[in-house]
Amino acid sequence: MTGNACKTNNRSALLTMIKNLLGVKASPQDDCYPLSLFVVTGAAIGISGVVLSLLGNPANTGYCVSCFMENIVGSLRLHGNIRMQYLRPEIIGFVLGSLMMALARGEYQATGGSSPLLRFLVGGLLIVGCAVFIGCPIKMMFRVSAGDLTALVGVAGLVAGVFIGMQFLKNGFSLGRSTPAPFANGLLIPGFMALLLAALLVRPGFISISSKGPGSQYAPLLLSLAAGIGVGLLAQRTGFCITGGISRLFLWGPKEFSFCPKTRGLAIGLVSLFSFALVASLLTDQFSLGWHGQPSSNESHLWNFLGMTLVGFGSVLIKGCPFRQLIAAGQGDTDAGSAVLGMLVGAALVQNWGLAGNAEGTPSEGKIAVLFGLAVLLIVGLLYRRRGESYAPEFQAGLD
Amino acid sequence: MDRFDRIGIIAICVLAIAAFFVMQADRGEDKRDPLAQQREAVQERTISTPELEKQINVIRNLLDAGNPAEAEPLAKAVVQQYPFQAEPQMLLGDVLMQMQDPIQAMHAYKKAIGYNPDYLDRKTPQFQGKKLKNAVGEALTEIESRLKQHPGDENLNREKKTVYYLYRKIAGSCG
Repeated sequence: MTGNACKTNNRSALLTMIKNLLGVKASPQDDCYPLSLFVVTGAAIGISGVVLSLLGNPANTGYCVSCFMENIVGSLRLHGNIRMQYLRPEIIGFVLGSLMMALARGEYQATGGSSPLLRFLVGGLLIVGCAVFIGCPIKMMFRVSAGDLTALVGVAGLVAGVFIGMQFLKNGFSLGRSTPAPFANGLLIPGFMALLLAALLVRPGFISISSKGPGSQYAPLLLSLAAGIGVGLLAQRTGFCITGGISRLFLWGPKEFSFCPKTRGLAIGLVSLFSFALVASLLTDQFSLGWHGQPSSNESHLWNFLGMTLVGFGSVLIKGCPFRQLIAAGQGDTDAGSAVLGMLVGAALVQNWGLAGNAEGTPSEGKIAVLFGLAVLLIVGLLYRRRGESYAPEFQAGLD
Repeated sequence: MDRFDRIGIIAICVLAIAAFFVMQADRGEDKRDPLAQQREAVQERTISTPELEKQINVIRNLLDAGNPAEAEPLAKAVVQQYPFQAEPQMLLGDVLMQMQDPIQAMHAYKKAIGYNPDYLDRKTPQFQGKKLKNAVGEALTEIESRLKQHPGDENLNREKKTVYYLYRKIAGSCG
């Protein structure tokens, strides 16, 4: 769920030895996943997100994978909503930042072959769930930290979805193990993102950029790109994932937070994101506590809950939330790349079919899509079960 | 097939039944494509006949002269004549605000921003977010004072929902 295996090197072993000599209890993994890095990752996402929102991004939308995906496909003219067209540099930055860190640390590895088409489908459903809730799990954190109490319904939905997904994992769900792929395969999604970046800079005729509406609201390009790259670098290094942190709780229970450095790190990362985003929102006058009148919200609480349940459930099945899929795609995971392409298609469908939640509530098309999505995930979960078995090997990898 | 499979199948059936009921409930709703509606609204808004402009100018002059009582029937007549245009609705809202009827003004504004979302878009010259926010605030104050006199009044509670809806519209969204 959360990414990279810890590679204990000589330096971290040395650090552990020094700590032991000083009487500080530490394992090599503590050095591999230093808590300070998770604090920094959460802080970087939280602060930069609020600043981007202050400098032009829509309210409470410093980062939102689903909204930004809708903007990107709009800009590529895969939907016709003239208010939702922009090649969001943050998304490009996530992938390129992840690639840079993976190459620098020798962790880039092209892999694939673990049910890519199914991941494509689930990727699309993740964006449908996010669009109904009006935000991905990262934006959900921004909404909560800006005082939007309606987003707490989404938190509950996400936790419920992760719980359901974990039950499937516990009962033998498996998409099959990924295997090494040719080096260049892993560069397809980063290459696509680099092309998008070039298109954003050159602005050829086939690219549309909104002159009004949410698509026209954006922070300065270079700042957004730098923030995205920075977050991508840190997220690759730590394996930061919203659903990953929650799923570990269900996997091993609260006790695990005191034993596993990475589990503790992910929890601290989430707390750090929330805390820093909260403080930044307060300092920049973007905090407004309440149930009513919040940006990107509505009163369809049941459907917001179910939308995030869909996201949590789907994220567990494909090992990561939408944000994590982008980071994994950057480090060579072509299965995550399939999910990213599915997310792009899902974003186009959300706009073309009018599935997204809005200030008025959840449209009936969105309600049906969420129910359909949950049913599809249940069918997938049942069809891909290995009866009589428990956690499949691919879900144990990276859980160091 | 074990217990887990059975639970899964039951859940799928429940979801299918729920989807059926949502579809049934949906049948009565307006099924027009929202994007097409938006395009139509923009097209409607851009049709500006000299006659309409003239009527709007007359009403604006009456408002500027502090004569909303005379402007009100004229504004209502224009709205009736051009029911799907944003500007007459916005003008009627302005008239009703001057007549100190913020609740009815709020409804007129709601229609106006429904026809033309540019009124809430800072990047367009039509942006009137601050004015609308003040109007909605006044409507909320009025509703709450009336609710104190008639607690449990369903109509007023519905009006409150409109207030919250407009606050959300004014606050903006990423989608």
